[in-house]
Amino acid sequence: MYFDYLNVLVFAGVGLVFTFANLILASIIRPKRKSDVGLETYECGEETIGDAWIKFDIRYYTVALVYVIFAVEIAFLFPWALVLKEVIAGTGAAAGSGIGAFIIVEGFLFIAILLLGLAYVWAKGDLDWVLHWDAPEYQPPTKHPRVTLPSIAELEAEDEADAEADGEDGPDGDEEAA
Amino acid sequence: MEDFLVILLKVAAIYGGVIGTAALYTLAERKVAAWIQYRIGPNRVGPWGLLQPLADGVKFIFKEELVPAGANKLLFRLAPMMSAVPAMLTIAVVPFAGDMTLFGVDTFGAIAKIDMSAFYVVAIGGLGVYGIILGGWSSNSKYSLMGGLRASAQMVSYELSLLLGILSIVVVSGSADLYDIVDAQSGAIWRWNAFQQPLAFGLFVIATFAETNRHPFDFAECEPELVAGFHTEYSSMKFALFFLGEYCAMIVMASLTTTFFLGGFEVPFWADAPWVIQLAAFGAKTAFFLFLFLWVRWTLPRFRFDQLMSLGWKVMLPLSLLNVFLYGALTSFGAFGD
Repeated sequence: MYFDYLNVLVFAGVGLVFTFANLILASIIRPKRKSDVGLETYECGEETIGDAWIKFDIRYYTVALVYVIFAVEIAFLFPWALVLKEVIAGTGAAAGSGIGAFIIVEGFLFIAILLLGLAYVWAKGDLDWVLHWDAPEYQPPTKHPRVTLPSIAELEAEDEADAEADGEDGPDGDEEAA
Repeated sequence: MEDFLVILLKVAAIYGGVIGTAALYTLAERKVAAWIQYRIGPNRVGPWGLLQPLADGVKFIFKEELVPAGANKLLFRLAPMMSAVPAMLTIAVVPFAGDMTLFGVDTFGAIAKIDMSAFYVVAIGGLGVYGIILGGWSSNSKYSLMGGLRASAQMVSYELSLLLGILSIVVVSGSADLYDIVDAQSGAIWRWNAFQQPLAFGLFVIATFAETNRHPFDFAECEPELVAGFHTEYSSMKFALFFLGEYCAMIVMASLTTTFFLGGFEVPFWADAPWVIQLAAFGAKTAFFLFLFLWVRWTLPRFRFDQLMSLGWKVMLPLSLLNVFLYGALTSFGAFGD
């Protein structure tokens, strides 16, 4: 068991040696042509403007905070998950202590509290990445007013009205012409 | 003495296997992209371009390295290692095969058999986020900072679903040892956790995509928006280490999905297969998930960041919690008491 952790240490040692060896090998071989322009921070060809170490959005902090709470609670659930089956079967270290039903209820209460916490954060709006505000309704630009084309029904109605007008005016017009 | 030699042999074999797979995987990424887009892909270096990763490696070594003048030098140099080493360390407990005998020494197909290996995996795997956020912050570049922040927020959000998926497996298996978890899935194919817990399987696979910053969740890099995200300022071997860490993390996630949900090294209906065949079965199952990463990358468009966050917190997390609740209750009623 502890021998196995030693194996992991050996594994980690080999990994560290591998990464360091690569870095050192590259640092020996690669060219070194230092220039002030090359050391500037990359900004797509523009000259660098200011620092990047500025205040960033608080919501990243909120997310990290909520994560820590949930992760710690899940870590607490691991021992429960490990013994649950043993307790149900009545074997293992807890055999005969009558702790079984207590453990089951306790575990589910804990998950329920987790769900409650999630509901609380959700209701507070900390899970919404896009904050809501009363955005004004979209207005199309008025500089070039939109041309609204008449619908087919309207065109047909117009045609009928014209035809009726022709029917009424037609004979009169003809008479006048005559 | 022989024990120690066998362990060194296993360490060498697993490092060789993982780093070799990572190198080939970079080639596979470009080849599969080419095939999906009806192109040929890299084919100049070696037969079918097979030596392309080697050429890339040589190029990385010979490239000039720049540390930006405004950067935090110590953290800037530390970050690539913090990204690559945890990804490789996680593989130490993954069971590649069952019991085996090497040169007369009875051993098993993993570096270490720890009784809390499922917990070890999430503990060490969770360290990978430090490399990304340190690399992003210490560069003192706007693109890097935004990439690092986004990546860390995304990784912590989806890690919860990952943890809860593992938790529900632990509940059903009654052990946090990966070997026991694999044993619990031995025998018939429907005993695999993928069929026993389909909801957890789906959530876990989606979470692995977010954890490894792959499409459709690749907000750490997001080429059209953030140049290269958190490693914009990195060059030469340090960039190569980030790259290695990223591909190792994908291999780790694929092998963990295999172990937790597809029965690991178990061959269906053949309980005591020789270890070579078990290793081959493990490789085949892992290769499927590795291919899935590529397939999805070249098929799906990228999410929007707020969509990503609301998917993680408002859909995946409640579903994962309910899944644990459900399987805890089923176990309590003796549904998995074999």
